[in-house]
Amino acid sequence: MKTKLITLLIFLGITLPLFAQQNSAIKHQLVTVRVTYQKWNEYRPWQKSQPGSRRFFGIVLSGNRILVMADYLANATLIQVEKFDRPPRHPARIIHSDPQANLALITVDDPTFFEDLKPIEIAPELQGKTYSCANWQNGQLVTASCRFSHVVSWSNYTPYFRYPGIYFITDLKNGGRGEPLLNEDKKLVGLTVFQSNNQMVVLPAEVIQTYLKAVAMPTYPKFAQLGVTYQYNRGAAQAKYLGLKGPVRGVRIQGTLAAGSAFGIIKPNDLLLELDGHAIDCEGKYIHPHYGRLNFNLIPNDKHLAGDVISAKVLRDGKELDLKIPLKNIPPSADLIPDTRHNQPPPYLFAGGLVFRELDNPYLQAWGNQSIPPRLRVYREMDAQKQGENRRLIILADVFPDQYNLGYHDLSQLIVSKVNGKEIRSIADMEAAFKHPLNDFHIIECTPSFSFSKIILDAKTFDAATQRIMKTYHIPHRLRLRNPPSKEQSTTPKTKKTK
Amino acid sequence: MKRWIQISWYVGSVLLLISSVQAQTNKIEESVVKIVNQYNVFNWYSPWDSGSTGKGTGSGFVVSNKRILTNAHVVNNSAIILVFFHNDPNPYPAKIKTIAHDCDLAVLELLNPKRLDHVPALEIAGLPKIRSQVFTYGYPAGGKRLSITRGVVSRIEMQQYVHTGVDQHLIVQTDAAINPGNSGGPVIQNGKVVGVAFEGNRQLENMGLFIPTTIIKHLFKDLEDGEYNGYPELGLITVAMENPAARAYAKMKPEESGIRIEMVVKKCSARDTLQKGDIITHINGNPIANDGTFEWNGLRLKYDFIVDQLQKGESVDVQIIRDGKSLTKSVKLNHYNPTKFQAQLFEQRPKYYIYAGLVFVPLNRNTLMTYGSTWFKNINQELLYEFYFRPIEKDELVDVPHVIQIRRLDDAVNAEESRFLYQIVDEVNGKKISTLKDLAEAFEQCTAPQHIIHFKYDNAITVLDRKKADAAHVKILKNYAIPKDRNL
Repeated sequence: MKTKLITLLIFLGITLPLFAQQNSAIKHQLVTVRVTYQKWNEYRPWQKSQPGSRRFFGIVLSGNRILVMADYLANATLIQVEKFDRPPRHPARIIHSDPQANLALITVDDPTFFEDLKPIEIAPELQGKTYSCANWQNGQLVTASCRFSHVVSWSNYTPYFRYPGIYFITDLKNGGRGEPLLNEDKKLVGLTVFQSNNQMVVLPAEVIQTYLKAVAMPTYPKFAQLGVTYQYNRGAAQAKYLGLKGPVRGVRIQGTLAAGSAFGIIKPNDLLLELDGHAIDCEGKYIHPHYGRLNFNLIPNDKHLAGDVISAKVLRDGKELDLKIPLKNIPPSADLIPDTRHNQPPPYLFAGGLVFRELDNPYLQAWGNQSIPPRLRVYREMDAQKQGENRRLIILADVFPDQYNLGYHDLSQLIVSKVNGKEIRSIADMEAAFKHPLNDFHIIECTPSFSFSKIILDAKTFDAATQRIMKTYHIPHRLRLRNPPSKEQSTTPKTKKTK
Repeated sequence: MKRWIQISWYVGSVLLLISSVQAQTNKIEESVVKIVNQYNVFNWYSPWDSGSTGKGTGSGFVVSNKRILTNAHVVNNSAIILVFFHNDPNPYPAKIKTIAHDCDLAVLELLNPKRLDHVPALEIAGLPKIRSQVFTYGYPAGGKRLSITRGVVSRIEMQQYVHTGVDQHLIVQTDAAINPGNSGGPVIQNGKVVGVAFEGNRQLENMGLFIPTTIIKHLFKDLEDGEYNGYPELGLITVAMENPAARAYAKMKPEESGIRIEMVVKKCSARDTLQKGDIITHINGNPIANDGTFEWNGLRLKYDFIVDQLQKGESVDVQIIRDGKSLTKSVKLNHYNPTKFQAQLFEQRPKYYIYAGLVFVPLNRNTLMTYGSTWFKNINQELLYEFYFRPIEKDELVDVPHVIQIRRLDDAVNAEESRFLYQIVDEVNGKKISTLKDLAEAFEQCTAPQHIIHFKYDNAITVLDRKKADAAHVKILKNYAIPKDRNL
């Protein structure tokens, strides 16, 4: 009995300092980030909705940078960072954010903040035998072991970006908020982006490394997307029809997105056989050297960035062709109905009490998924990814009742096609068109529906009525145009490097 | 003595009145029937199946010429209809003489009409007044005996009839309880029929709806030639003209009112006479207000009611403003209803065509509904677009049928080939597809080594090896116990 007790004490004597040592290392690499955010009110686009707050985690990198998930920074009005999950909270700012990749860098301008922090080392890829992750809960560092499960083609909420999403089984509770995943060498092998029950999804180190490489470039090149839709080629009859000889392989290209890398190079009805040297199987999978069988759409992001050129082999009209594809990024703003505005406010126009705005997914989401007006839902499903020249659908979202707009009080969700004979592709077009009434009338034409296809307003009293209605309903601003695409952010912290 | 005579006269009169009311009530009770419908509903997802059977009950009442009037939804999809009379335990088989789905009414006849020899036919009266008292008679759920409820008429207006989901006619709202089983029963006022109970609204309290006698009379008049034609439609989409600028733009005088035509639907009555942009100011002399209503017997009703009172072949005079000028156009009414193809279908054996395990059906409300209760939100939105929205955007497509692939019965010949379900077929073997007949011809006339099915959206294709598919076709039918490969 005595011997057993002594053995146990010796074991604890050896292992406890080890745990303490492990904990102490990550304590200095993991910070708590608190964000106050405020979304725009999609129904009243001149104002914001009620603010909320989020708490998540940041990983300390070299150069006084903190790596976080970009999603959590959306609509931030205040960003604060805490060391050791306790006050004081230090104001932080965004150095760089890529919402598509869901990665961002923030910093604290007070250089002393980083004095007792230590940058984490990033592994080149998911390598290791045992894994753990950690987060802060009530001022205590919580660590948990993680067990590799499987890899899927994972996509963020923001469209056009996929990466190998690595599933781990873990005992950690409430994770998926940017916790670091570490190997036995305490190197960062991934960032948790999602957790459901005991399964968490990790964004792998390769993507983080590629992101940091891109951030270090003079101009951030962004991640690239192929921009193709495809169908399987499992059936022998289809393969034969497409001119393939031998075993079934490759996928049939159904279409290409106008803003995508493949547009004009890979063509509809091509059988895509190889991409960047990887053979594509009949279900669109290739063999990733570490993660196994994954969707070929991951290849353009696999250590590549926009600007790189990758090779492709297609079977077209029975002949194999070798192609070169210069990789391009597809910004969500290329879509007819953008999936996100990336912190930009909704463009709108208040005209004679009628509220017009550009249709985007944040507006549709504000309806709740089950309550989206049917015609708008059809537009979203069918036309969202139609692209070209920053065109948008303009909708009449609401009417603020007044004598001036009598007869139109109940109108909403109409798609505007023309104003005063001018085709409308943006709020800016609309603002310009209202300057040129037709014979003292403003004629707003809408896509045919069971409602008005033509809304007619008195042009002579239009401006006065607009001002009066704005005053009645306390509407501060009449117009907001879409901002031009922003220039690349500076990737260098303003403060001097202290380490 | 004189006084005694006077008292006796009063007492006699009261007794006579009571007995008369009693007799009237008894007469109504004798004429109200319970209808049991043993139905057989076809399955549009497995369109070759014989259908699922069940039993539904409703009410009805005897009208002139030994006919029984009830709701269409009480007797639709019937295999056998049994009629039960008050205090008579015997069932009397009946058949449908006319079923008018567009106004949710049906006329039945007993197989042995002698049972009706001594049953009084209820008299059809006019429209009841708002606030007047009505009684509903019928056999609602909750018991087996005749039930009578009382209420007042609270609203009269045009509303959509739920049965087809696309037709709109006059309804009367009452607070008399109208529950499942009441459907088809008479609504009585002063011993005469003022309506047919047909709908309730579970989201509202004490709200029942009945079909007024204007609709019943329209049905009987329509049937005078022995054939039911249905309601004529002007075929217009119109909007209100309440905005002063809209009226000024249309060059309307201050004293003029009306509505603007936004669309004249293909093949409908007004297609050749009225135009988009016309302002309708009068129909058959009735001034149309800027909100699209007109005055009728102290009520303000939507202008559609004017046409609703007319029959196929009759004409309406429509006074319009076109380019600032007032014109009168005579519109001869036809009964073509472009929205009919959007209505739910009843009694019809589903149409389908199967080739090598691929199951094709027409695009209609019934096939859309096979997707599940949330079909409207979750089905491929292209189908909704083609079905509901595109015909409005491009009216030449208003009645163009489509074929969709609804299922695949897996077999070695098709299981590995690409599968696209609930998708519209655009072409098969280079032939444009609009109907199942087109589809059958495209498959059966093909001599190429492969069948190529091209879907309308997303450049999707399915390819089958023709010889192997031909060889597998009969075997697949046998494996899945399908008696016939088509009902075109």
